Amino acid sequence: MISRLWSTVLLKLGIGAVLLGFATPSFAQEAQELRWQASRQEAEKSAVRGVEWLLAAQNADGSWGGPGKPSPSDIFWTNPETHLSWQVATTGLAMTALLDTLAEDGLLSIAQHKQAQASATFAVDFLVANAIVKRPSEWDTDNTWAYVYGLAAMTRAAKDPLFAKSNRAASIRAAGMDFLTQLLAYQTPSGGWAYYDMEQTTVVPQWATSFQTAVAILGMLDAEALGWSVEKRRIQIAVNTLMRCRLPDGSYTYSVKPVPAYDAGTGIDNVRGSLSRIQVGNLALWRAKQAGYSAAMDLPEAARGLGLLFREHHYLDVARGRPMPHEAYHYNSGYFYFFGHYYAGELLPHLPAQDAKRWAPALIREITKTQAADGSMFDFYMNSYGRPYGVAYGVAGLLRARAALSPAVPAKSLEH
Amino acid sequence: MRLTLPAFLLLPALWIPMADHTLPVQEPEEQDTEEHYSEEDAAWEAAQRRGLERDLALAQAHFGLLGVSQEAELLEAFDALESAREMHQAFTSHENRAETRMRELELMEIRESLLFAEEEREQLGFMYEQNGLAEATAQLVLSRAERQIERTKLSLEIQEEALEYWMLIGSRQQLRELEREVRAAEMQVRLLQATQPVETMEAEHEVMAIEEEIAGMEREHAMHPEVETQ
Repeated sequence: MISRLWSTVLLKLGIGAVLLGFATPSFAQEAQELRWQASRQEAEKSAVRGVEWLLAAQNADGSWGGPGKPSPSDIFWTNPETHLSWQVATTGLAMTALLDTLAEDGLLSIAQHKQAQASATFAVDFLVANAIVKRPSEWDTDNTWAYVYGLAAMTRAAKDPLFAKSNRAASIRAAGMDFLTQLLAYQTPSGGWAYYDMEQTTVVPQWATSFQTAVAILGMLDAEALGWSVEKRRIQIAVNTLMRCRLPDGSYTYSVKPVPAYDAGTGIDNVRGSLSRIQVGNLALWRAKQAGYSAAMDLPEAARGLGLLFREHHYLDVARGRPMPHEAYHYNSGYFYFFGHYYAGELLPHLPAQDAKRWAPALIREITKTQAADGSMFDFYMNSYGRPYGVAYGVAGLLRARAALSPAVPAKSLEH
Repeated sequence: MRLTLPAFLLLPALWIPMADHTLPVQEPEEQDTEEHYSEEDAAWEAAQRRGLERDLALAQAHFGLLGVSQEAELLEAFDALESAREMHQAFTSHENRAETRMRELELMEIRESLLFAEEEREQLGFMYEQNGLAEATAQLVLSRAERQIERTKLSLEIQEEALEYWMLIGSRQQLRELEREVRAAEMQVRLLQATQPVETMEAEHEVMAIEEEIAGMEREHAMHPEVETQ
């Protein structure tokens, strides 16, 4: 009697479980798709607002940013060439964000589309006209920011349909080569790049950082892919330098050091102080490896690095908006924020679809939450550069995350 | 603190007997002289009396203060002695060893700095040689790294000598200094204990001297009852 009763109960439970088993995946999948769709829409809306802000904020000469509104930390030491360096870098980023937005069908209205095309063209003309940037002072080598983002912008423009076959193609390539030549002239004996000549005050500086080296590698890889002349040996040296900076916990040292070491406690050379460096470092190593260079990076490791960004994201949240460089925990600076999120976005197209879709909503959330009522995004008081570069990084990151959440596009085809 | 009365306060008292003997002796008319003497002398004697009474009050007050100030001085001396003994005890039981260990740690840190500077120089050399970039900068950085090693070696030598000096001489010097301070504090206590009774006696003596002077004046006055003091 008892056994027959139990048999009936188990049978009914079993049928229910089977029914649930069939029902759960479809409901869960549907719910997931809806969440992704909501994230995509959030990203689109935010990106368009950001582009509107960029279009309105462009200077009369086609650039973005400028020496106005200095904060206490940058009023005393900059000079006109420092500002030209930052203006070129900021303009390169803004132009890249506009071209990325223009590449997305239906995101902008027809009027916005035309305005964005005109704005990007104007920006290209500014960059071409300002491709030679001098060293601001014996100590200040911020000109390297102009080189890395000028090169990135020119490679982006060179392959964009708007310019690839236009009468600007030759001047874009020439400006790109100018940026590249100047960049290579600043490659330090250690193989990397940085933006100050900290100790030695030499023609070719000695100090180098992991993250600017990573940005330089990405620019050189893009240039090489376009068939521009880049000595492979110089790229490999830079890649070796970046690998030297990578620590066993997956972080990157801030500076290129002869003897790299993990910072215990509240130092910067560990995961919590390296959240933004991890993304650009992993991306540069992965892309170098894909391009045939000797580089140690795989996609599970890159995905793990992305996970570290969101697991420890509060360290960047605390730092964002603080006026003094490196004043937050683990020496995080406000300006790490969008830099890190931009390269997190750049990493997404390379990851397997499940990893990209897993982290894209988080990336969208962490960018959109920073957007002000006027559409701008901001992480650091740096004259008038903070908002344009913040929006440019933010919009580009949003577009990568949006693409990663596309239901129809498999991960491989997201690569650009 | 030793309490003494200002000397000038005692001058009038000395003046009183001298006045009788030093004034020129005249032979005035009996009635006139008697009348003149009694008026002037009475006024002068009254002033002297008031001065002595003030001196007495001041001497008594000083005598009263002396007890408190001597107690404070002695307390201070005992505190200084206790402090000197504690410092001596702390040095022998802890600080001597702690100072030695601290100097050993500094020595160790400089040794490690030297090791790090040498390793860094070696790694810089490998890295620069491998890259073959920016030869002039590389050479300059390497030269500075070499000089850093030389500076650190000199620091190491200085620190080694400093530790050796401390263990052979410095530590003992400091111990002897602390012992001297204890002895000096002990001596100060003994000195105060010896001098304070004398100071008390001196102050007491001053009070008594003034009292006796006042009593003498009263006796003098009793011999001339016809003269009224004012």
